[in-house]
Amino acid sequence: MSDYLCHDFKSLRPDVSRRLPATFRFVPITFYLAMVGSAYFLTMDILSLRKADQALLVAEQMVQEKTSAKEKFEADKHAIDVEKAKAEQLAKWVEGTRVMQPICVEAARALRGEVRIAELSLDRNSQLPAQIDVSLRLTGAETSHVAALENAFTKLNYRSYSPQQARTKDVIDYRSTLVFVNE
Amino acid sequence: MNGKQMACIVLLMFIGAMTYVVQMVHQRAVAAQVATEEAEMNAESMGGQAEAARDLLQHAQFKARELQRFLEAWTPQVTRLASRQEVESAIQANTRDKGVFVVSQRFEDKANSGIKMMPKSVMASMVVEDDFHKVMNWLGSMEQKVPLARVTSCRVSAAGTGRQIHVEVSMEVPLFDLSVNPLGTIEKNS
Repeated sequence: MSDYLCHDFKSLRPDVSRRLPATFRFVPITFYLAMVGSAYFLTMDILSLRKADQALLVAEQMVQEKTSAKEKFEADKHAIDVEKAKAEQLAKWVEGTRVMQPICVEAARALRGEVRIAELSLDRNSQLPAQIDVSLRLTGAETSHVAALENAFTKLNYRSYSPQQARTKDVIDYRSTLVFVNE
Repeated sequence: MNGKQMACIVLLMFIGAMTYVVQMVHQRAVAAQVATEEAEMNAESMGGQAEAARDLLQHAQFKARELQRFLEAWTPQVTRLASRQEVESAIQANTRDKGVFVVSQRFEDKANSGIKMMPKSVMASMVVEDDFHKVMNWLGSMEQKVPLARVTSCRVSAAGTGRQIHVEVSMEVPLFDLSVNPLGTIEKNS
């Protein structure tokens, strides 16, 4: 090593730049603290983010499952409602198809002796099909025969409403409305 | 600006950048947690709605059981008489079986507007003359074999000869279409 260089190396030299104030020592300390803090918070946040994403997927799947289950229940209920409406309409019709033949037969059976049914007419009420307007013309009949007739209707579960009878000589005209009574 | 000052500035910039990144990630994590909580609440609420829908379904099933059984029992009768020809042949077959004397018979179509499930009916008018028991057997048998027939009027009077009676019967036989939705709503596929 040359003398010149050795001398030059050991000699005092003025500062190239001014020293920083003492407070600036906190800058690197803050940097390290920030590094450590950031690593901690980043790790924790990333972990919670992943966990939240997974929970979100599960929750969304559950929403989908519950929605489809709800839709299925609603569709099933709708199908039942439709079937119920069909059954109700059919039942409404069937309610008005109560048989008339037993009324004719019972009326004929109820009248014994010399009584004759000159005319028997049964008309179903178009608005209330469960009601039947009955009209009879009896020859040689007494009031007791009319009572027997009404008893016969009662046996068939029909109630006689507003019965009317008109007598002319030996002919009785009997009219009534029969309403079926569900027991 | 000397090198030390520059280094401080660079470090401060690093600190700022790190803080910013951490804050951003934290915000994302918080937003994800909020979204998850909302989705969980949604799931819970949807679960409640599904439970309510299931309860309604069970209630409807319980209430409709009788009517469903009724519909099931009557469906064969409805499908058996789906056209005018089928109604006519059912009535005529019964008349032939019972061997009553038919004076006249008439079948007419009747349109039922406003009743979706029952768009048409067949109106049958028959005049029969025979023995009382024979005619009553015929009428009873017809009401039994064509249970959907609604006898609208029945007039019985004495016929010209002996024990014979003259009977005029009018009846309506509906042609139900069970494929129609009477509620008028769109069918949902389950």
